[in-house]
Amino acid sequence: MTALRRIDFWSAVTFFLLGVVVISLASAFDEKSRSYPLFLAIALCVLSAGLLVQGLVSRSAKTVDRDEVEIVISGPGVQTLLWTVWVALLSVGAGYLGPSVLVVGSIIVALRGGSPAKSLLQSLAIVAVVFFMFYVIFDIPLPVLDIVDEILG
Amino acid sequence: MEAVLSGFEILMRPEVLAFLLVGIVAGLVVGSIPGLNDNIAFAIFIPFSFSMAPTFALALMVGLYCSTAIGGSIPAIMVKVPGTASAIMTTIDGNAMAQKGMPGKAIGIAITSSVVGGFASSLVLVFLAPPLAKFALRFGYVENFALGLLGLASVVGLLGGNIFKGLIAAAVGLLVATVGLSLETGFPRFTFGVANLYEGVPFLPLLVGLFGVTAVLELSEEWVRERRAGRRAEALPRITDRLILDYAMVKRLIPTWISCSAIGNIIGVIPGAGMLMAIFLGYERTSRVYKRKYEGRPGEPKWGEGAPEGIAAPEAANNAVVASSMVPLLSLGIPGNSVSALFIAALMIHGMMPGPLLFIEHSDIAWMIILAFVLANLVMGPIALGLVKTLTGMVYRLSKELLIPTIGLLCLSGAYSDENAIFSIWVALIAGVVGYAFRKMSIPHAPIILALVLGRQIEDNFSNSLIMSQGDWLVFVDPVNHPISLALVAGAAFFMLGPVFSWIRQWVRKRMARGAAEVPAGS
Repeated sequence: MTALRRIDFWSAVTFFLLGVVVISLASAFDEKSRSYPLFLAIALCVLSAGLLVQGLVSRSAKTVDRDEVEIVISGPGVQTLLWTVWVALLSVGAGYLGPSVLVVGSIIVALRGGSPAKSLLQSLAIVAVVFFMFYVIFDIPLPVLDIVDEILG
Repeated sequence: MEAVLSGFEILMRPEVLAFLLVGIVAGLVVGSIPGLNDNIAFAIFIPFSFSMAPTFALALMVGLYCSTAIGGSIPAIMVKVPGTASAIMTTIDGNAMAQKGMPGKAIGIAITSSVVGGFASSLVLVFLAPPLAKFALRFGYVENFALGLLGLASVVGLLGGNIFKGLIAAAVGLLVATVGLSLETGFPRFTFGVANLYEGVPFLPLLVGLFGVTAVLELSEEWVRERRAGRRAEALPRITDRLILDYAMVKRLIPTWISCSAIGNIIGVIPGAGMLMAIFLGYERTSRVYKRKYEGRPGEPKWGEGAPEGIAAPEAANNAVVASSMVPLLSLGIPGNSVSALFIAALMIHGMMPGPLLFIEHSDIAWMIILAFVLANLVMGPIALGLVKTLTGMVYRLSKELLIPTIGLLCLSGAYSDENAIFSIWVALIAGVVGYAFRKMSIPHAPIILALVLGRQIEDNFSNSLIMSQGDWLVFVDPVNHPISLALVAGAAFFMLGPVFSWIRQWVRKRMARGAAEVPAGS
């Protein structure tokens, strides 16, 4: 059962499955377009099988422990979730400033805890600086609300 | 000569010089903050370069690239935390010297050694890149395929560690590069009906994600780890001694600078060999010389306990890699390391393709870049010496809980600026999460980046070579018609088989050692 706790084991399984999916997708391409990705996908499967064998044999392979999983979830996991919310809000046309202040503030609270008011102020400052750099200095049309666009001309 | 003068004239424009200086200062600041490095700085700055003139953007990036390593040595010496990976060996003797009350001397050695290494490296770039580019103009499809193969093989082979993981990374990168309309038939591959993918996965958001967003996730992991461990910042040592080296010290360090700059330059020119290899080789060689020549003498510390050469060697070697890693990029279009891969993105944004044609189509820009490396290395020493006290204070003043969302917002907003599309932000976010997962799996990033850069070229050159040779696969190893390709393929095989031979050698050694241990027991 130790093998199931090894990172290399799960990496190998993931890449092998990825290779299989790519093979099935590439098989639907026309003859000239499929040979190169098919070759790469087969190579990926073979290499993953090699990694799997190596992971099973190796005594020094890294294993997953509960503490590590908790760290990944509470750090990068929360970050990923909050940034996904940010992009989703941008995608539905919620503008740039509001979602940015909300998400940056939430990240500061999640990382440090403490007063939400202080985090909100810091978030406002960060968003204002980034917005000024992109929108004003470098003239990049960030997806702001129409009203903001009108105010800023 | 006309192109050189033209490049020099562009570089001497006040705005271009100003951007070079901004890049140098920004690189010093970024490098001196533990956790940040040149990759992250590039991921943040590249999107801004959209709205800049190419000369400004490239000058900024040259300055940034040259000075980050110096910045990294400052926290390494002051608090034993390398600001960048390139300062990892500097922590040993550098911090030991600082603890003995000589932080100024240690930083002075680090900065001077970096300037010497960097300047030597920029001269290599001046003299090697143009002739190599001229030679590469003879390359056809067959040679270009073999060259791409060599670039990938060198990255995978020289990374060390697990060869399977290196190859998997390369295969994944090459597969991602196949997304989009087929070069031969126009058939949409892995596009799932998404129009944004017809021209392939957008390159800039992909890089911003792999470097910037991955770094944000890693920093947040580090932050959680530190909070759980309850680590607190230690007090900073104060710089009270001289930063400028005396004549005797300069004279003493010259042999170390020469040997380590040479090592750094050789390693830098080889794609994929990377800064760390140069640092370890330079450090190891210098340690042997030091132990023979100085250790045991009165007033000389032991190696690792504050030896001046222990700071000079890694610092000269790491900066010697910087400009020389641009040789394969500018002349052959193959990035020497991940930062120079980001240079490709910066050039491509402005419609320039690195490689031999750059010296024909944009010779003034090519020479401006080369000369900017020379100038940056000359001026970064005095700037670093002037800013050192501010930079040391910065090490602990910046709080990570503010740095993490700031970098995240800068990177993701930067990804948007690629095509002013929210799709690009999704690409950067997904690439960041995948990049972080790869880090957890110990899958190296360098082969992925190189495969992404070279993927389309490799496929294009491969299929054109086979069409021209009527399907003859031996065309790549044809000694009569394509001797250059044969040499390049042989080089690729050498790089790929290197780790295998090294593994066999270790295995044989272990067996012999075990056998030797068993003989007395049996007799």
